[in-house]
Parts: sequence; C-alpha cells; structure tokens
Amino acid sequence: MNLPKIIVKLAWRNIWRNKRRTAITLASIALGLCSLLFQQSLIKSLQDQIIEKSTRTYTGHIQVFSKSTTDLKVPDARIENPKPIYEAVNKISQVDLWGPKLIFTGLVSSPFTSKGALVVGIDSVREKELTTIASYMVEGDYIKGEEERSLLMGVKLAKEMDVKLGEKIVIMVQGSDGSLSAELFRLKGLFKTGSPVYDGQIVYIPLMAAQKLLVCGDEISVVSMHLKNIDDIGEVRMELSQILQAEPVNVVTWKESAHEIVSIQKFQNAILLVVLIIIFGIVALGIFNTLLMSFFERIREFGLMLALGSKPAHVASLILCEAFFLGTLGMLLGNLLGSVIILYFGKNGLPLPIGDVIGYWMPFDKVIYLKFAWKELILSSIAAVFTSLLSAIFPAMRAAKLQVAQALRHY
Amino acid sequence: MEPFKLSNCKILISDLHKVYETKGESVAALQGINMEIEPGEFLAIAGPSGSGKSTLLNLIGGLDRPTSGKIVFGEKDLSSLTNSQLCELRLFSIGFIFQSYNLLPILTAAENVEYVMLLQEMDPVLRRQKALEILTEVGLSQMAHRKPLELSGGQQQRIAVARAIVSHPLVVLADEPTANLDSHTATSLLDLMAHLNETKKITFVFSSHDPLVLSRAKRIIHLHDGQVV
Repeated sequence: MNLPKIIVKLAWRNIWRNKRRTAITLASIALGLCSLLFQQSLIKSLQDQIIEKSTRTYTGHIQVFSKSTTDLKVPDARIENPKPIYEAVNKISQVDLWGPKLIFTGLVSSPFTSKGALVVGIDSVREKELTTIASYMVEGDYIKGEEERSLLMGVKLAKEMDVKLGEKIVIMVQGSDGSLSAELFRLKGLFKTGSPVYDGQIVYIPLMAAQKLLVCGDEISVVSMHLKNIDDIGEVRMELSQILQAEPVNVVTWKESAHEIVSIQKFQNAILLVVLIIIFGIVALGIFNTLLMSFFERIREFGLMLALGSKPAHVASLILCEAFFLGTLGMLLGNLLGSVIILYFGKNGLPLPIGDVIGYWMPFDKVIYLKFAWKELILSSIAAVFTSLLSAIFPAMRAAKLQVAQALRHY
Repeated sequence: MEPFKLSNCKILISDLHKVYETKGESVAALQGINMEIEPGEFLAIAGPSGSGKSTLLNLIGGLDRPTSGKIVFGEKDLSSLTNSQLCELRLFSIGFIFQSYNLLPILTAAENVEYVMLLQEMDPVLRRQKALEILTEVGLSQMAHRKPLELSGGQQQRIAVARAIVSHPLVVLADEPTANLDSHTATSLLDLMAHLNETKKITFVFSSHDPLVLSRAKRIIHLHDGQVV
C-alpha cells in the first residue's frame, strides 16, 4: 500500500467513525440533491412539454414569413410567391414535416350569431401530420383534401354560436382587393384542446378556400416546419436563410414566434438557479459543519500524524479525501433517490395545477410525465462533490497549519 | 531527492529558551538550558510538573521551535531547518513515545507500526514483515490485527514503542511513557526500552517524575522552573 492508498484508506475509515453523523450528513446531501434533481426534471419536462405543445399545435420549429410581417402571431403581410420556399424546404434533409398556412381574422356567422375569429387556412393533408390539431377532434371529421367548403372549430366557439355539425357558417373578410368577401362553409368537425383560446377563437378551413375568400391567388402567410431533431434548428435556419436570401422572406425559429415561452423558460431557469444556490448552500454548510466538528475532535490525531513525519499536505489531503467520499456517497444516494422519484412520476404522471394556466393559451396536459434532465443531473452531481470539496478547504487548511506540539496537547 | 537523514545523533543544546505567550502573558518554560546527549544514552529528564520536561523534549524532537538558543542535532542546527526538513528529520531520525499512547484509532496495531515506514515509502512486503517482527519483539504479535481500543493501556504503549523503534531512529524521545501505566506494566515497558537501548544502540531520552522510572536511567538531568539544577 502506498501513501495515496493509505490516505484513501484512512479517509474511508474516518468517515465511518461517527456513523450517525455521517448518516445525517449523507442524508442532507442526498435529500438536497434529490430535491434538486426532481425540480430540474420537473422544469425541464415542463419546458419540453410547452415547447412540444407550442410547436406541434401552431408554430412548428421554424417558420418562414414575409419580410413585411410585423406580427408573427397573426401575420399582417403575405408571401406572394411561396413556391421557392416549398422547393427550398424540400431540399433540406433535416426537415421532417412542413405545411403552408394563410392566417387572417374574420367574422364568422351562424344563423343565430356572429363572432370574430382567427381563420387559419391549411393544407389539410400536411397539417394533419405537422400539427396535433387533428388529434383533438371530438365530433365529426377532420377536413379532407378536396373538401373546399369544410370548416373545423372548437367546441367552445360552436357552443357560443349555437351551431351543430353539418350546419352552415359564413366567413366574411375584407379581400385583398378591398372588397368585402364572404364564403359559405359547413361545420365538418369540432375539436377540444382544453385551451379557451384555441377552442373559442380559431377556425380551420382549407387553404384554397381561404385564398379564394381573400382573393389572393397562391399567397400564404407562413410556412411552418417540424424538424427531425430540434437541436438542428440553428443549422436549418441558416441553410434556409441562405437558400432564400433572394426572396422577401424572414426565417424565424419558434423562440422568436413564441417568445413568451422563452420568457417563461428564462423565468423558470432563474428560479431554479436560486433554488440551486439555496440547496447547495445548505448542503455546503452541512458538510462544513461535519468536517469542522470532525477536525476539532481530531486535532490531536493530526498533530500525531505530523509528529510522526506526515507532511501537512498529507493531512490536508486526508480531510479533502473524506469530503470527497461524503460528497460522492451523498451524490450517489441523491441520484438513486431522485431517479426513483423521477421514474415513478415518469410512469404515473404528476398532476400539475400550472397546466390550467398554460392551457389557457395553448393545448396543454394537466398531468406532466417527468423525464431525466441528463445534462442538469450530471452538472448537479459534479456540483455536489465539488461543494463537498469546497467545504473541506477551510478545515484542510487549518489542519495543514497546525502547530505540532500545540496539537498534541489538544484534548 | 535524498531524504533528510542524520548519521550522528549527538545532541548539543545551548542557552535554550522557550517562552509561551498566552493571553498577553509570557510564561518562560525553559530558561537557558545547556546540555549534551551522547549517542546510545539512556537518559532521563526529571522534574516536577511544569518544570519544562515536555517542552524540552518537544524542542529536541523538532515539534516546536525555541524562542532563542540552539539545538544541534547531529550535524544540523534545528533552527536552520525548514518545516519540511524538520518533518523529514522526525520521519527518518526520531522516534516518539507519548504519555497517552497516541495511536491512530482507526488503524490496527500492525498498521500503526507500519505507518512511519509507509511515510518512508518502504516496500510494502518488507514493511509488513518488519512490523510483525517488531510486534513479536514487544510481545504483541497476536494483537497485530486489533485496533487500539481493543487493547489495554500497556499493550497500546508497547505498540507505541514498536512504532517508535521500527525504522531504527537515531533517538527515541519518550514523554512520561509510563505515566498512565500501573507499576508492573511500567516496569515491563522500561525493561523493553532498556533492552532496545542495549541491543539496538538506540538513544533513549525520556521524561518522568516517577522514582521507579528514574532509577532505571543511566543518567538523569533534573529540571526545575525551566532550568537544569
């Protein structure tokens, strides 16, 4: 056995000298880390779910707008010639799904009442794959490709307008030539996303019908696309921007078109950082207390080691090694405990009241299924061990600076 | 790098002073000590409590630094040595026996004896062999795997002796080694120390105020109020 080995051996035996104190210290590290892992997983899962819902119900990962568009939610300008965009999108292998939309506001009238609504003209075949709106159908059917006079609306709007499946609905808008234009549709299906905004303010009609209604030829408001891997978003955006640089269009990601989600993410991350600092502060104080108590109890022993010829660095290494063991064991326990909790809620779901709040703006589940935030988990685990080592620096320095004769007199 | 090791253990002490500063008060523990310790001596430092025996041993062993005066250990003036050199001097040239055994409680008897050799980076097999040999010599070979708390006071002090002599130091400094032992165990320990002094020619310097212990010394230096009397 060489010197580093004996330091490791001494450190390992030392931490088990006071089993109760070590158990309490390990429990504090493990519980702190476990709660952190749970919160990181919760926030990461929540954020992923928000992004997934947002991009899959409306925005997509990347969108192409007219350069003149100032409002990305309800585009106020149209792309006159979308064909180069379709060709460009088809060339990019990372794009999984895409579809054009023509978005405008109009007056939707039933035989009994009229309501202002957001009218979305869709390529029904592409939209069915691109977004999840078809999965929210509760009555009737989704629009089929050729059905020019079909209309989908939310159950809330249908109830407010007192219309039933198959009944007539007129959409009235101001056409691009300035004339007042109106078209008759029949209610083909009802969807229920749970979001009052979606269910009460949006109607879907076929793209060609929308273009005819607006008297705008082949013009569209936006092309949305979903990538095979969201991590490629920057690369695809750049490639698409280069291909379309001659066109009067802007390529934007969901982060720009749904910037409120980015703000929510930033807010959540800031809260997480505060929680992280508090938890690690508490953990650090716990370990510091343990190591300091242990240091004071063993001053004579350190004095003896120095008297026998140990170098101050050996004694300091011993304390750091003990801290490393405490941190590592606590980290492993914390990971084990945290993993069990994450796996449980990953399988059974966690009821989340915040789902109601987010669900006002977009379709959002009230139950969240936790998944591992691997990057954060690894960082937190390293931070737990690092915090432990950091807490040991002061006792280690004190031990290294002990006056031997004085330390040997210590009781 | 060559370890800092001495080849001659003659110790010369001249005009040695040690003053402790505590809460603004100065306490003179040693006041001008002059003495010589020859190689192979079995020397006792006698004196009542507070006479400066432990302080003197601490200074000779390089555990503390004098306020003024000189200790020349072999060829080296201890005051000229750095902390690191003092550390090596203790490791390679001095063995310590303390009043309260001072064994590392988490190591077994054999591991405690091995500890110094381990710091000297001795070969593990040789180290273990030497530890078992010396434990046999002090009559504790059966206790090699026991931890200090499982041993009696006398057994613990024998292990401390074994640890002090196992790497053949030039001098062993023992601060009241029998103070916590009954007379029978104390006699047995003194027999052991005298035997090692005779057979291995190791210099022993020990402090005590016990007449039984002092009667075994070949030479006695009496201290009183920090001065040789």
